[in-house]
Formats: sequence, structure tokens, C-alpha cells
Amino acid sequence: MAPDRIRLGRQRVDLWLADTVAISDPVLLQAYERLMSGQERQRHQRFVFAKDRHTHLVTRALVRTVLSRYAAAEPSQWQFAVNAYGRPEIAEPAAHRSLKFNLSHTTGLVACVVARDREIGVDIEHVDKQRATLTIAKSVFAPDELADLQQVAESRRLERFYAYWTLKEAYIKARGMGLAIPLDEFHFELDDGALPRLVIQPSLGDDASDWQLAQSQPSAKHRLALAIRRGSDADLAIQTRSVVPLRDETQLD
Amino acid sequence: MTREQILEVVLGNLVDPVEELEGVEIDPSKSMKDLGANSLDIVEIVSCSMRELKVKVPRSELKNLKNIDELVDLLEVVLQEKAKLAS
Repeated sequence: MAPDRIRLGRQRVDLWLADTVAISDPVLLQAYERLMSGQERQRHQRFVFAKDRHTHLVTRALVRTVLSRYAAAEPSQWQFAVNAYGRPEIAEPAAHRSLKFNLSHTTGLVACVVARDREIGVDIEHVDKQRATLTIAKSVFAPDELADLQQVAESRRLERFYAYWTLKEAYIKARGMGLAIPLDEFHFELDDGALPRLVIQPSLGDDASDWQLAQSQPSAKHRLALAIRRGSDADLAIQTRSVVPLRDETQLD
Repeated sequence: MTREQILEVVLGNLVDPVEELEGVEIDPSKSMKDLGANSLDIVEIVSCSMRELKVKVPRSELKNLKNIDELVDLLEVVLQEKAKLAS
């Protein structure tokens, strides 16, 4: 029996997490394959490694089954289009275009965030990996963020790096502009124990006070950030669920 | 610097974030995403390659690249321009 439809107004966003390692039942994976469009199947085939095909398969099943929890549409019915900068959005059924979603995947975990008619972005990273933090920061971080990374104790640098990166990605994805957004015209300020603060230069034409930011640790190895355009509304509630698409789900908070 | 040397630099930096590629022959006609790289991996690969080659490529030129070959071609052009300016 299909689960009950979820009502989603503008005052809440829902975050869905799928553990890709825990999903291995061949019957379930075959069911996921049947949900994919022709274009998704082609994309699937282009991945060289089986683990990336698996993550892609779970991601497509996740977004399709999750969206169907909010609308009278079968998971296989959804059609997607990309905006001018490549961000996927709902194309059909057109009646449900007010549902906004954003996806992120990393080793072991896929995240899908859903909102009603709001810009929203999510980024999730597996933090076990060593990174060329300062080289990356010199390339794509704002000067203040780079300076902060340079001054932080080396033992804390990687954690700090991922905090900045996930927030920056979440904001960039919410804006739907990819790397076309001028990276030196916004930055984040991190203060231990306080909420992160977004600072935007007037030239970017956006208002930092419009944005609600959230960070979480879905597991010891994962860091997640959300950027939600709250506008003049109060902070939105964030409801998180762990899910195995087509099988079960657990509300986490 | 020859095209082969530039390719070697890029492939060397690809193996760090994408561990599965260690010891595997990499087809440069593939995109980094096809090989399992995510956005952060790609930024790391490109940033580290630029540092190693001592060049800077504007991000606007990077975003339309379809595969590793195209990145190597772009880095080669930028390196040639830099050499011309220096001579």
C-alpha cells in the first residue's frame, strides 16, 4: 500500500537521507531501475564504476519516490529539466512545479531536500577524505574564508574547510547559478558555537537576511549544510527522514 | 611543456580524490563525473593541476568543459599564452 501523502506548506522543509551502503537488495534495485527515464538510463551507463552507478540509481529512485509523497504522481511520471546553469527542476507534471527540490550525494549517503516554492540548496560531504584544503580555498573561497582557514590550527583545518565548503555549495545550489555566481561577492563567517553568518556584497544583488542556514552531522563521517530562502518569514522547521526508497522510512526529528 | 606532460599532471591529481583510479588506465575522453568525481573532487583536481602547472584559468572557461581531454587542451592553450608573454 502506498504511504500517505505528505502535506508541505511554505513553513517547513523536508530533508530525506538515504544510506547507499545499506541498500543492496537486488529486487529493490531492479525496481529502482524501472523508475528511471531513458535519459537517466543513458546517464547511468556512462559511469565507469559500479559504485557510482549504484549511487546514481539510489539518487534517481530517491528523488522520484520522495516527490511522489507530496503529489498525485507516480515516481516514474516525473520529468525534469535543467535551468540555464544546469540545475534540475520539475518540468512535468507542470501542476507540481511549486515543489522545489535539491539533491546532493557523497560516499555512502544521498540527500534530497524539498520545499514549497522556495529556493533551497543542500550539500553533503564525506569528511574522511584528506583534501588540498588551502589550494582549493585559494581557488574558490573568499579572502576572509581563506584567511580563517590559514589561521586555524592544522588539526581543525579539515573540519573547518568542510564547514565552509558545504555552506558555500548549499547557497550556490539554492541560487541555481552554479559557479557562474561571483565567488568573491559572498562569504561565510564561522564562529564556534554560533550559527554561521552569510555576508553578501551589494554587487551580488541578494540579501543575506533572506537566508536561513543549517548544518548537521547525519553520521560521524558526514557533514551537511542547507541554505533556504526564508525571505521575511520566520525560520522554517526542518524535518529529517531516513529512507530506503520504496521500502521504509523513519522520521529522525 | 608537452600535451602528454599536462595530461600526466591532471591524471596525477585525479587519483588523489578519486581513489578507485589508482593503478587504473584512465580514458581522457571520459568526463571526471563519469569517473565518479563530485563537485569538490573536480574543484580539487583543477585547483591542484593549476598550482602544479603555475597557471590560472578563469572559472568561466572551466564550466563548459566536457571531459579530461578538453581540460588538458585548455591548460595547454593557457600555458602557451603564458610562454608567449614571457618571451
